[in-house]
Amino acid sequence: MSMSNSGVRPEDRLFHLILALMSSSFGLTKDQILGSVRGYVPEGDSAASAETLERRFERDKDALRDLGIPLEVSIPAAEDSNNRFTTYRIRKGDYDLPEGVEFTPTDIALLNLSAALWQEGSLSTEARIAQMKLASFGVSISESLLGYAPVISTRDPALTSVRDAIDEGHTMTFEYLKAGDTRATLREVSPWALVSHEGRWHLYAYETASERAKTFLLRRIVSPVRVSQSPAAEAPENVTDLAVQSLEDVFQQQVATLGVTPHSDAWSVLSSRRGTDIVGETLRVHYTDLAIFADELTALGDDVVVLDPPTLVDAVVGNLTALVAHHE
Amino acid sequence: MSNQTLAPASDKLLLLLSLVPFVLDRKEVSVTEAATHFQREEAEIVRAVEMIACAGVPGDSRSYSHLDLFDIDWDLFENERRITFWNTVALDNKPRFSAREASALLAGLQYLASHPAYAARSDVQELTAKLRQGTGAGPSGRIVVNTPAGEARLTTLSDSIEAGVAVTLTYHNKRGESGARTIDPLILESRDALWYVRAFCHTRQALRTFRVDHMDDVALTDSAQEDHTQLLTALSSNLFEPSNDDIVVTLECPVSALPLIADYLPRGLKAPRGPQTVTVEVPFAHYGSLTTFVGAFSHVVRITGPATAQQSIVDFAQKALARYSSPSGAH
Repeated sequence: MSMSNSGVRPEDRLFHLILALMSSSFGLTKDQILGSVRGYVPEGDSAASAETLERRFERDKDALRDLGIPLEVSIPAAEDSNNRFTTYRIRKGDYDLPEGVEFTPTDIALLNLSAALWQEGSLSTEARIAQMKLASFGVSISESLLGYAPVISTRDPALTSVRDAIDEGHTMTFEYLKAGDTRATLREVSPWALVSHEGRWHLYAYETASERAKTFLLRRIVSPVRVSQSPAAEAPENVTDLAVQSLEDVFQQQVATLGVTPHSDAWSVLSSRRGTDIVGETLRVHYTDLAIFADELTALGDDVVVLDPPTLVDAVVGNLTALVAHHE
Repeated sequence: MSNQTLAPASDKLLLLLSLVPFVLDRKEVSVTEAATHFQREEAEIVRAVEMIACAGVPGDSRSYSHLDLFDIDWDLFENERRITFWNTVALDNKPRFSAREASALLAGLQYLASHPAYAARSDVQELTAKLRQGTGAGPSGRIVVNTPAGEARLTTLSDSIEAGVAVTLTYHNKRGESGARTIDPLILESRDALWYVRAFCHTRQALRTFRVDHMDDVALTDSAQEDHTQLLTALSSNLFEPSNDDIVVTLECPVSALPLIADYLPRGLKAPRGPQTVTVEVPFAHYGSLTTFVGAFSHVVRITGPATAQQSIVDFAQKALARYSSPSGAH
């Protein structure tokens, strides 16, 4: 191979870096990597400067991590300026699919479909990586899962930072606009779990100031999320169950009584919601978030009149009054 | 991971990493098959194979010797465009999913389990267990999609797609009209908690998107669906297509609220940098869908034109408000 150093494509260099890191039993130091792996080693007459090579190595490490490749870094206990004795490796056991895990063609088809759910928004990169990994299975997909095309939205701007904070186990702060309030307040929380409930993302977190676990609606986080370096309060074992249950409790407790025109689309939509009771021409409908439910009811127009609770009446009347005021 | 698209080099690297175990699994595979499988151009597969075939690990002498290199059957590759490995280095297994990838897949499976066609299937549950075993999920596992199991209409629609038969139903459209329809359901789609069916409508003799929660009296028929293969292949991923009859309105909203209404906005619209408020032209099929939309976002969006559209919103809101001042209302 007489390819010059600059002629080695980045994916070729990354591929060689992975092979070298996987083949090494004890790990490689940065100097060993820069001195032996194709794409770093000067070939022919083009010699990149030491700084260029180091920057390239830093970028490559990030690229591997972003692809979910388990890069292990060992820093020797002794003083190590300039990370000269830090070693890097990829344990084959961490990279490979564990022994004994087999996926059937149907499994692969189902996993592809569940990756495709995230085609939009902030989980799309991970979903794409997962789909490429699924493609490494030689099985032909026998079962077609056509006929179903689901999408989960992950457009909430806060979703990515909240996921990062959960993974890193750090506390975070954000401005939160509570329903009914006109001014946002600063919150500090230990993020515990993310729940998509009724199609909306919620954060279940432990709030430092109130010393309580609370549920926050992601779309009411109105500032960028700042992740701190302080460790988060430890989450209980069954945290996802608790998160789902707390939303479910609110849903069960809150019931509205609505007068609805029979045979209208409003009737069709509201009567088919989970838990709705039909009492003559009134419907008793459960909801989780008053302001959001008020928005949904406002959209249904004069086919619905809210009879109870008064707070919901006020919210819908407020919405309708604003509509008139904004467009007259 | 904050960026939403993969860098080209990372994307090509993924192909290299997946192609090796794929070929090992199949033992021998043609360039054409691999291109179809990975949904890539054949030329890209050829380049990847050539790159892999020359790759390896530096040996003790810190140089690449032939024992530490990948090797392929070059004759077979060059003469018949078929790929088989004679020697592989380090990579000989399929990659495991990272905790974050696994958490996306697990949450996805959970969501699929709410679909009537999958809810009853034990393989979704078994697969969930397998995936948990195959990765250390850790805190990344703390992502849940909680969609209660589907209801009867979904089951009927799903059955009709499976069996290839038409269904009859009563549909309430956004103009406030209700009517009997016969449709050939083709695809069930969901956006978060809302379900849609794309179907060939016998009344309109065209492809239409229906909201499942606007349907009543959904019933299977005995009549087989017509052949809609052509419709299916031409199917766009947009649920609603703009048409010439659309009413185009001028909409104003805070930049921060754009993600909330993204489904209604032109595809690919990027939030401008700088201004706090954005103005955009948005098509609506009719005034009914406009008022439904604006009603749901009354504090977020404002329609600044045309005047007829503004008037339709005022009428819509005043009619609804009237129900609160009449004796039968709440007050």
